Amino acid sequence: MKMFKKKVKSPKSQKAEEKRQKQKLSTSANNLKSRVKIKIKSLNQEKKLNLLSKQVKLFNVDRLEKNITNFEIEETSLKTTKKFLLDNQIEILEIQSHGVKKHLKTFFKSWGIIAAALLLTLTYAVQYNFILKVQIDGTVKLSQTEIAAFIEDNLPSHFKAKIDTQDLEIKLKANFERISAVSAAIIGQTLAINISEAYIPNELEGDFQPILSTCDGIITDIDLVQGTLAVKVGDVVRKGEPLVLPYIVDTDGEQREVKPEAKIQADVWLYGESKHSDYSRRIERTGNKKEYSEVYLHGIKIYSNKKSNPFSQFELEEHQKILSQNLILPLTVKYYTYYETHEVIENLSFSQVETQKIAEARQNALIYLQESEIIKNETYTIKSVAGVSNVNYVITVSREIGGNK
Amino acid sequence: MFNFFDEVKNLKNMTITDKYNIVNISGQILYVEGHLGLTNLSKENISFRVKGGRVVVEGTNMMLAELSENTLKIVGEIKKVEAF
Repeated sequence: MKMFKKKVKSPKSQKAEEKRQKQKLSTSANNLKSRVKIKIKSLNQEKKLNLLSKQVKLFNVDRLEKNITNFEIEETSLKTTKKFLLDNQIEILEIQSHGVKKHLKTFFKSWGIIAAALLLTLTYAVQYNFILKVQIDGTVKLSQTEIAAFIEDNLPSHFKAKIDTQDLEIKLKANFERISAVSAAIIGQTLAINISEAYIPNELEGDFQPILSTCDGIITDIDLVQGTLAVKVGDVVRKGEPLVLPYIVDTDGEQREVKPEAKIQADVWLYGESKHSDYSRRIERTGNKKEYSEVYLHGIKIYSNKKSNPFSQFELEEHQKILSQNLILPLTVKYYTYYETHEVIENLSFSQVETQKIAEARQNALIYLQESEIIKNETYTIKSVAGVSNVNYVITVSREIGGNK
Repeated sequence: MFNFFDEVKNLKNMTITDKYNIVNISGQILYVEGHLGLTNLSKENISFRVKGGRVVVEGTNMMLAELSENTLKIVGEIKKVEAF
């Protein structure tokens, strides 16, 4: 059997222990007292310390060197001590305060730090009750921005206590069909949303909109993948007309929504136009001109050489220039130029410009030609009424017109 | 109020002129009442005047823990206290 011996302290060690405890208490008490430590330099220090000790009580007088001594006094005696040291021409090397009072004084003096610390604590305590961030995880096809916007709209408040995560989960599931499971939790100051998206087959996915024609044309070829055709080969369609409808009728006769898919080819007409008048008037400049200028200082006219306009028919051009580089003096000059004009009347028959106008109309039609498209046919018509001729050019190309594939 | 020094004096039934009182506690603290001023201060030697003479304290690492008009307290390793 194992025996335990109680350790008995010897009287000597007990005393030493007591002494240590007392010293410890004494040191703590000294730390609590507010004392000022002063380092002085002078000769014949004993005499001066004797004189000083008659006025104030000295503590821990420690001779460091022959003429340097440290001693402590109570903080209340500092004024008397300083006066004594100055009167006796004793050099003060250092004055150092210590003790609880000093620390408290320093602490309360730095009110700015206290105020900032309090404000910071208060701000942190207040803002900790609010949600600062919404974190969404698990999205594949769903837009995080859209979900975040929905959550933002549906949160009664950013105050944590007012947020019902269960209600939010229900709303998310109801609003986003693609969500198969969702969990919402408040972690710290983050509202964490974890989403599991449901798998939807490609043919059933989408917003089930019909395929619409992207331009006018006559249908030449149809290759239907899924959906119900609304047109057939040879039909003339206008831009925006439905080509394939977003449903199928199954063997039971039931209509089922699908994403329509088809390749529909059509002959498309590209139009171009040009116009010509046999009689035309235009204004031309004769070459004569007159120039004037005006100088402005801060918007106020200070100089002008402008005279009355000598031309009966004219065109006016004006421009402005800042004179000073540094804008200290805001001087600006306005230049006016009058150009003399006259009317020119032209008589030009369409037959003289026919080729040019046809080419111009063709060029206007070719603007609509897409890359790698092959022109199947070209034709044009000319209409002349009362001296005005119109050229309408039509280019036929084959194009895929199913715009919702 | 109880005064240790007064009690000691009365016990001996002696007539003692009040000059000074010195108490040496374990050679580590020396308490003095009735000094008349320091004459020397160093870590090894602290001496002071008393009524009718001078007291020299020798030791190591000594320091004057307290000094007032008529009392002082020396702490450190006190080896010898001599009165002249």
